[in-house]
Amino acid sequence: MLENILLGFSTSLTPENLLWCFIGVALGTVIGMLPGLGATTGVAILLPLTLSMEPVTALIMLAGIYYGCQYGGTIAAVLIATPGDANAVATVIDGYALARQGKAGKALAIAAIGSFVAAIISLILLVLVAAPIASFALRFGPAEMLAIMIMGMLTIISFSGDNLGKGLMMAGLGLALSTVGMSSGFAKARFTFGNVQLLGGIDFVVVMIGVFAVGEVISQVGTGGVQPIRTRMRDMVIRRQDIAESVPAILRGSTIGFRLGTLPGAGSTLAALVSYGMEKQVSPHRKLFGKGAIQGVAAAESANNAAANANFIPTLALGVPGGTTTAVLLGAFVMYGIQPGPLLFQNQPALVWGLLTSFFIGNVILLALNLPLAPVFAQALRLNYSYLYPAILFFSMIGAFAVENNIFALTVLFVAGVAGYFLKKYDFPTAPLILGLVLGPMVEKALVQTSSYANGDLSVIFTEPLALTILGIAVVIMLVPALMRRFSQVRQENLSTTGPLADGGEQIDGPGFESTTPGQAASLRNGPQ
Amino acid sequence: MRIRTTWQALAGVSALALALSGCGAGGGNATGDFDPGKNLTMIIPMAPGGGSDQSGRAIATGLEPVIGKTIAVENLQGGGGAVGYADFMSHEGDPSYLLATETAMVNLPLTQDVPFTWQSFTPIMKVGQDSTMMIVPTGSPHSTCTDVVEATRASQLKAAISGSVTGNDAIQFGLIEKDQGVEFQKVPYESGGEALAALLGGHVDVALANPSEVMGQMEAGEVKALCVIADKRYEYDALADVPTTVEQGINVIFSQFRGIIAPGGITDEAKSYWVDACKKYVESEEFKTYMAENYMQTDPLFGDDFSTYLASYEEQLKAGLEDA
Amino acid sequence: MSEVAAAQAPKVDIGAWVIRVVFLAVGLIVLYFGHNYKIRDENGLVGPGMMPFFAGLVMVVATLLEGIVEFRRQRQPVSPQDAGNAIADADALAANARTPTETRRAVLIVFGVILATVLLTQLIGLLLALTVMVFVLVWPVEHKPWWSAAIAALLAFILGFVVFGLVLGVPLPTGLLGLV
Repeated sequence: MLENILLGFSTSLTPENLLWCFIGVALGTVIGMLPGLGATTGVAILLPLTLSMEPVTALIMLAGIYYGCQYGGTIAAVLIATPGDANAVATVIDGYALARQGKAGKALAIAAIGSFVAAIISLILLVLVAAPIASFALRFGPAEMLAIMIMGMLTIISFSGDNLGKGLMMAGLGLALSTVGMSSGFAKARFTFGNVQLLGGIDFVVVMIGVFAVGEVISQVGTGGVQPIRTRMRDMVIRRQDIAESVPAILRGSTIGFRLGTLPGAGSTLAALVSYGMEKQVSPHRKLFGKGAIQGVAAAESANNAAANANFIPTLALGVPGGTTTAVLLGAFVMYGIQPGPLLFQNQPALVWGLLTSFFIGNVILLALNLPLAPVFAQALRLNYSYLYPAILFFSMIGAFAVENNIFALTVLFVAGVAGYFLKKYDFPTAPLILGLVLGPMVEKALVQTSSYANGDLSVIFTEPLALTILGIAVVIMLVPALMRRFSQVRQENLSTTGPLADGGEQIDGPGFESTTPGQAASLRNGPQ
Repeated sequence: MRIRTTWQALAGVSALALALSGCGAGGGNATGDFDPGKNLTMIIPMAPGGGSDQSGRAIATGLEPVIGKTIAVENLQGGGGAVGYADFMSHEGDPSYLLATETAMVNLPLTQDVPFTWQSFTPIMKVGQDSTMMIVPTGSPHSTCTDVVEATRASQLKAAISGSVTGNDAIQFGLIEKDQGVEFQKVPYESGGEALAALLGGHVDVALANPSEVMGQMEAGEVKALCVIADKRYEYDALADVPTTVEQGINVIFSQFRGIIAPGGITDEAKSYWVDACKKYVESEEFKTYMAENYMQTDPLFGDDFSTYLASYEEQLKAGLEDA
Repeated sequence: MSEVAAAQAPKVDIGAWVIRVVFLAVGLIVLYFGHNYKIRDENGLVGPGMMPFFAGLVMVVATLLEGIVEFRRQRQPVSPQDAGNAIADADALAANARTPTETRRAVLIVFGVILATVLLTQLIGLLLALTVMVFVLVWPVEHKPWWSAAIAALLAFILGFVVFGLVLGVPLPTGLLGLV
C-alpha cells in the first residue's frame, strides 16, 4: 500500500505533472465558472488537446479539469446564481442568498473547505478500499437504483421550501418537460410534434441557465436599482466558528456524496441534491436553509466533491464509468492506448497511483488557490449591476449555445428565462423544476429497467432487501422530520392560531429570495448611489 | 492546432452562407483538381468522447495530409444523432461538409419521425465495422451462444440492451429471437458501460458488447465472450478464438458500420474527390492503427458500393426491428 | 423606508392565479398525452405514457390543492404571516425607486433585447449579436456613457472570442452574413 502511494507521488510530483495538474485545475475553475459548461463538457472539449501528452500527464490534467470545474461551478452559483450542473442547484439556494447578504466570500470559503475535506476523506477511502466498494456498488441493480431515485424525488420536499404545493407543481412540470424527445427506454419519441430539435429533448442545463441566471437578472432589473453589494471584510472572511458549525454538514455531505458517487450511472448526479435535501431535514440550522445557511453550501459542495472522487472507484477498479464525466475519461484511456478494466491497478500501477495522488495535490492547489481568492472573486459583485447583468446575459447565452453547439438552445433559454421571471415573481420555487427535469429521465429509466427486470412487477423495490433499506433511510430522513414538524405545527396552530408558518415564515424560493427582516435588508442595500 | 480548427469552423459556416445565397461552392473542374472549398468541416452527430466522436476525429485527422487541407471538427449532438443529421440536410450541395456516420443514419428513419433517410446524403466511405460479441460473466454456466439460446428457451434469461429499445443491441437480440424462436427478457440500459456493470453485478445474464468496450474485463477474466455476431471471426489475436454465431448454428449476422458521408446533391466531381481522398487515407498507417486500437474489422467500401451496402443494411434492420 | 406603507396594501396576485391556470391546463394536456402514450405497454411493462401521466397527475393535483389552500387563505382576513410576506415584498420594492409601471417597462425591454439578440444571431452570428446586446443594454437601456458601453461590449467580445472560440473551440455560429 505504502509503496503504491510512494510510487504515485513519485509520478504525480514530477515538475511536468505538477504543472499540468495546476493548469488543469485552473482551467477547470475557469470553465466551471462559465454558464453551461460543466465538467463533462470541459473534459470532452479539452480532451483532443491532451492526445500528444504522456497518458499519466494527460489524465492528471483532465482529472484536474474535472474537479476544478466543480469548484468553478460553485463560484458562478454563489455569485450570479448560475448553476453549471444539476448539483450546483443545491449550492445556488443558500450560496446566492449569502452573496446577496454580502457574505459571498464566506460561502466560497466554506465551499472550498468542504470540498477539500470531502476530497481527502473520499481519497483515503478510495486508496484503502476501492475494490470492495466497487464490488458492493455492483450490487445496485434496477430495484436499488429505483429506490435511490425515489430518494432523490423525496428531496423535492426540501427544495420546495415552505410551500410544498407549489414545489410539487414545479416538480411535475419538470418531470413532464423531461419526457420530451427520444428516450432510450421506448421506441417512439414523445411530445416532439414533428420538430427534429425536440427529438433531442429539453436540456436541463439550458433551462437551468434560463430560469436561474436569466430569470434572476430580469427580476433584479425589474426591481431596479440593484446596488453593488458592499460588504465589510469581516463578512467576507470565514470565521473559525463558521467552520466549526459546518463540520457535521461537511461530514454528512461527504458520506452521502461518497456513497452515491460509487454507484455506476446516475448516482453522482444526485449527490449534492440528496445531501442538501437531507441536511435541510436534520441540521440544527435548518431554519436558516434557503436564507443563507453556510451549512447548506457545505453539505452540497462536500457531497459534490466526494461524489466526484468516488466516481473514479468503478471507473478505475472495474472499467465501468461512474458518471458522465468519467465516461469521457474512460474514452480518453482508449485514445491513449490504455485498456481500462479491472487489471488497470495491476498493469498500470504508476498511472493509477499517479492519478490518485494527483487528486490530493490538485485539491491542495484548489484550496490554496481558492481560500485566499474567495473574497477576491466576491469582489465581482461590487461591479455596477448595469455592467454586470449584460455580462451575465452574454455568457449565459453563449454558454447555453455551447452546451450542445445548438442555436435552438437560445430559444429554450429565452422561454425559460421569461418563465423563470414570472415564476419567481409569484414565489414559485424554481429548484424543484430543475430537480424534476434532471430526475425525470433517471427515474423513468429506473422504472423501465425495474419493470423489465421483474416482468412488470414494480413491487420488487419492497422485496429486495437493499432497495428496501435505501427506501427506508430515505423515508426516515426526508419524511419523518417533515411530518413531525407538520404535526407539531398543527398543534401549535391550534393553541395559538398564529398560522402555519409561525416559526418565522420559513420561505425558500431559490435565488432572488430577498432576506428576512426589513432591518437586515436595509443594511444590505445602501440606497441608490 | 486548436486555434486553426476554430478558424476553420467559423469560416466553414460562412461557406454555408455563400452556398445558401446561391453562389454555390461546387464549381467543379476535372476530378484531379477539384476544390471542395477552403473551409472543410466534419460534423459529428454525437457527443464528444464517444465512439463516433473518436472515429470522426480520427478520419478527419487522417484525411488532412491526403488532401493537404485542415478539417475542422464540430459536435452537434442530440436525439441519438437526429439533430446532427437533420442539420446536415441544410448543407445540401456543399462539398465542404462531411459527417461521421454510423448505424443511426439508417436506424433513425426507420424508428423515428425524422426528415431524412440515408438517401438524403451522399455516402462516401465505410471504413469498416464493429461486430458485437455476446458476453456473460466468467462464472456463468453458459459457454456458447447456443447454450444461452437453449437456456432462455427453458426459462427466460435477462439480456441487457444498451442504447435504445430500437438500437443495435435490441435489433440483434430481435434477430436471434426470430432465428431461434426464443424470447429474451430485455432490460434496457443507457450505455454499454451501465450494461456491463449490470452484467458484472449479476442483474442480467447476458449482454452484447464491442470488443473495445470489454477487452479490459476479458483480460481480467471477469467476462467471457461466447460468440461474435458475424459470419467471420475477428482476426485480432486476442479475439481469434471467439467463434461466430454462424459457426454455432445461429443464423444471424450483424455489424455496426462506421464511415463518412457528404451532403446530398453534390456534384460527381465532388463525390469522386472525397472518394479518392478516402481511398488514399485507408492505405495510411494512422488508419490501420486506429482500426486496430478499436478492434474494428477493416472493410472499406466507397461511394456507390457503400450505398449498396446501406441498402442491404436497411433491409436487415427492418427485419430485426420487426421483432425487437 | 417605504415598506410600512406597502405592507398595508393587500397582496394582489392575479399573476399567480394565471400561473395556476396555466399549470392546470398544461397538466391536463400532459395527462391526456400520457394516457394516449400508454401507461403500460402490451406486455404489462412500464410504458411510454407512465411518466407523462404521473407528471401530469402531479401537476393537476398539486395545482388544485395549492389553489384551494391559497384561495381559502386569501379570503381570510390578513394574518400576521401575510403581513410578513407583504413586508418582504415591500422590502423588494424599497430598495428600488421603480414604480410597477417602470418595473414592467424595464422587464419588457430586457425581454425584448434578449429576443432581438436571438433573432439577430441568425443574421450576424452569435458573438456579434451578443456584443450588440451588451452595448444596447449598457448604453440606451441603462443610460451609462456610450463609451463605457463600447468598452464593455468590446471586452465581452474579446473574452467570448478568446475563451469560447479559441481556447474551447466552440463552433460559434456566424449567421447568414458569416462575419465572425
